[in-house]
Amino acid sequence: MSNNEIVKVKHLNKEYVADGKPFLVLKDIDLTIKEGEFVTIVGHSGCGKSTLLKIICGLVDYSDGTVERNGEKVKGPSPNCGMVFQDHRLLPWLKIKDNVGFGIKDLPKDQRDKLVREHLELVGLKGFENSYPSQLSGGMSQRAAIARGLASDPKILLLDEPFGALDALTRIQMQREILRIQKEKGTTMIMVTHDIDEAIFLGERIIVMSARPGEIKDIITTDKFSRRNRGSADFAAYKRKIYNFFFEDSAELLEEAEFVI
Amino acid sequence: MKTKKIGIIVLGLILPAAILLLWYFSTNFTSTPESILPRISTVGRKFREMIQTGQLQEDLGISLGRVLKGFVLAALFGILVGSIVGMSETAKRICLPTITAIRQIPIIAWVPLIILWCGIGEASKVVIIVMAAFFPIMVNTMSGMIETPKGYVEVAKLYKLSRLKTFTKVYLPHALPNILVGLKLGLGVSWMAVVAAELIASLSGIGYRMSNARSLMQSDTVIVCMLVIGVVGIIMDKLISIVFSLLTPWQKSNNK
Amino acid sequence: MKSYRKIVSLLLTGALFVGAVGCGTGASANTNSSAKTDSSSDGKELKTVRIGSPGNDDYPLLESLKLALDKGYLEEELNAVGYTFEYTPFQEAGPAINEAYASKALDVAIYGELPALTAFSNGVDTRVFGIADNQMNAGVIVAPNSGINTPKDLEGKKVIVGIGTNYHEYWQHLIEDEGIDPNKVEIVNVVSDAASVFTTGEADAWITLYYNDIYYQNQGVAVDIANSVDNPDHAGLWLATGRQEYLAENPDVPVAILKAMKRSQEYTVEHPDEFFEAIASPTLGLDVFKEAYSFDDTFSFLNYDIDSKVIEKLEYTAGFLKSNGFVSGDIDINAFIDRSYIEKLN
Repeated sequence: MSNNEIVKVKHLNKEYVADGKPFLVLKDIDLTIKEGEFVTIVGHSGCGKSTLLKIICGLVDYSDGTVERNGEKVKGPSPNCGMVFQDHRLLPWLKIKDNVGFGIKDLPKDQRDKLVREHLELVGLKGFENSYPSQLSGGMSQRAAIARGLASDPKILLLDEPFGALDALTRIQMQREILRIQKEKGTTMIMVTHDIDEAIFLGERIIVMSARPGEIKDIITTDKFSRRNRGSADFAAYKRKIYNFFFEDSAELLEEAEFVI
Repeated sequence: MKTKKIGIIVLGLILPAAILLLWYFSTNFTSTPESILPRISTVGRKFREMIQTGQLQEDLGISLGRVLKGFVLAALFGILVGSIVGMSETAKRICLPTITAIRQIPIIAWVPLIILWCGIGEASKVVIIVMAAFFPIMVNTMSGMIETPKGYVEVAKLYKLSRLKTFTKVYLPHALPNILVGLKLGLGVSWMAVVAAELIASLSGIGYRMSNARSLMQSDTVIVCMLVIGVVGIIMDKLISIVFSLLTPWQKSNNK
Repeated sequence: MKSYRKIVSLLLTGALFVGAVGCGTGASANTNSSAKTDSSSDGKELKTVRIGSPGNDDYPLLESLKLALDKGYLEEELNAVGYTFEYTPFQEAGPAINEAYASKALDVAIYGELPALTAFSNGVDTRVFGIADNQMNAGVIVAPNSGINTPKDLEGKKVIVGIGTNYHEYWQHLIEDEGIDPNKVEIVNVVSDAASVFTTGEADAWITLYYNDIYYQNQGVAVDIANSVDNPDHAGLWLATGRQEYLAENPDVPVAILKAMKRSQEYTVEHPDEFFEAIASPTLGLDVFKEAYSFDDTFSFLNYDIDSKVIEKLEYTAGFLKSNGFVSGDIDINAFIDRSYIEKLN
């Protein structure tokens, strides 16, 4: 992990208007992410986490605060910042290879084909180039979406609850996959999740956000060994800490839980 | 596999067989006037006669030409306008109320105006068919565009696709199944319109033949024309299905 | 709230359904009995005869029977023999009347000889029992300054002729008597939209009913180059016909109708203005009809008799239908004519 501050968010506020009344989605967000980091953002659905990702990505604009990617102010999407959505959003009418190659432009055909093949192999989908999304399972589709996100070789990959639609076992499998991929490519990854276990397992740093308005409550730095062991006491400690933010009146319940464990 | 296909065909033939039976019984065992519903044998004889004189082929050819011209033009306009209105909320607000109003007006009411603007030649007949077929094609194209999931549009935005590329790579492929439905409806309507169209100063064509035969109480001719239109209509409908299943290889068993 | 919406939608659906079914049964033809019953003003049971003709509500084409209708002669004569009538105008004219005849939904029709003979030759068992007008006039109009002065000049031009209609028959007369080569004339086959086609100049000439002829001349947009007032042999007929089955079962009806037509003719000779008023269409105006129907102040064209002149015209029509391939085989005019009811009048 280099010291390059690849994403810098300062004093970001985002307001939406609903039924004529404005409401604040993001309040005073300050966040710096270093190149090569794997950062997870955890919070309730609808607390602005997705909006934050979309602003960093350049899909949603902002007026109050500064958002920089690689030292430059974010004005719109860029091939240097990929995104994976919760619903894989593979275009049903394109074969997997065309979906994965969707964002690769300005390259001669054979070079593009090579990139596509490589990335499909990276996510474990070798041989599925000519299949259609409808022929793939949920987990496989999400892998293809990740391949698409990485195909243009971005420095940053944003993942918005990418495994939320998958069953529990597949989810754990995919978590291991994404770690492997990140290790291989070294891409900076920012993942939004509502699954606390997932946030701990994957996040070198865990950003805990509250809802309405979306604010950063805390940033927890984790230890590599602790987060990899799901059953360890340290893992449980992280979990308890995060729980506390969301269930503030559950101190008694947690004391009981300690006995059970 | 083969028995399944045969089964499908057999199921489709049940209703026609029932209709034929009903027809046979009502003409041979009741006092249904022959001048309104002729016997099956009479119709068969007339059909042979019309083929032998070549009149049926000639009429069919002429009407088919008009239907094809009108249908193709309606398809082009319909898909174009449907796409514009489906992709732009402003365009929809401007165009849709007027289009909806015009759509309710029966084609017959337009005929004098069409004669005024397009004369009494081929042009006015094609215009009538275009007017009839345009609406189902436009409306279905529009709804196909509108229903395009916003998620896909966001993907296009993410990869900085131009507006035109977003249309061709996201909206259009998504709307293809809807466009197909619109085209099939438009085709059916085209055949209905050709009869109205051929009331304008025609001396040939299957629609004219049908109207003329009706006033001369030649109901056998009327029924031959009806059957021919029906069969040709089915063939054209199937052709459209085949073309579309070639265009949409990602939809395996939906386009039958 | 939810059950309230359910009830409302059920009621609406029910109302629509009942409305649709109600409309359907109301309009369906009464195909079994040929005589319905009704009550007259003094409470007696009257049978109803269903009479039809081409036209619409404000302009029914009935010729001599129109005055009879307006002055109540028709109702009086029918009441006297225990009947009343129900009149229906047919927008689609001949073809629709023939269909109604074939389905036995109509008993008496007052219409042209062309559709009448078409029905008869197709096995619809009808008879002509009287004449509502023995000189239905037609004519040819052209635009002013068109350079067309005689029917022969129509060669090389576009002429509006409704195929299979009385206009077509008039055109046949012109071809035969004026030496026109039909292959040199382009026929424009329109009827309902003929006015648009003519006035926009899409066609050079229009064969139409004589009063239409007069109307467009008075408007200054047309000039008449030939008409059947000058050539009575070219004129058509307006027949009083009936279903043979009905006439045989109700022989008093055709006699009553003939009586009404006779009274109408007699009254017209004394009071022609009332006749013109009765027969005029509101759109074209009284003056046009005055002019169009003043060619004979004895009004002999309203004579109800089926005389030799009428028979000659019927034979011509039969020949016309055959030579144009509109009917297969010869039509026996004598089988179509029934003068027995006329004889009962004398």
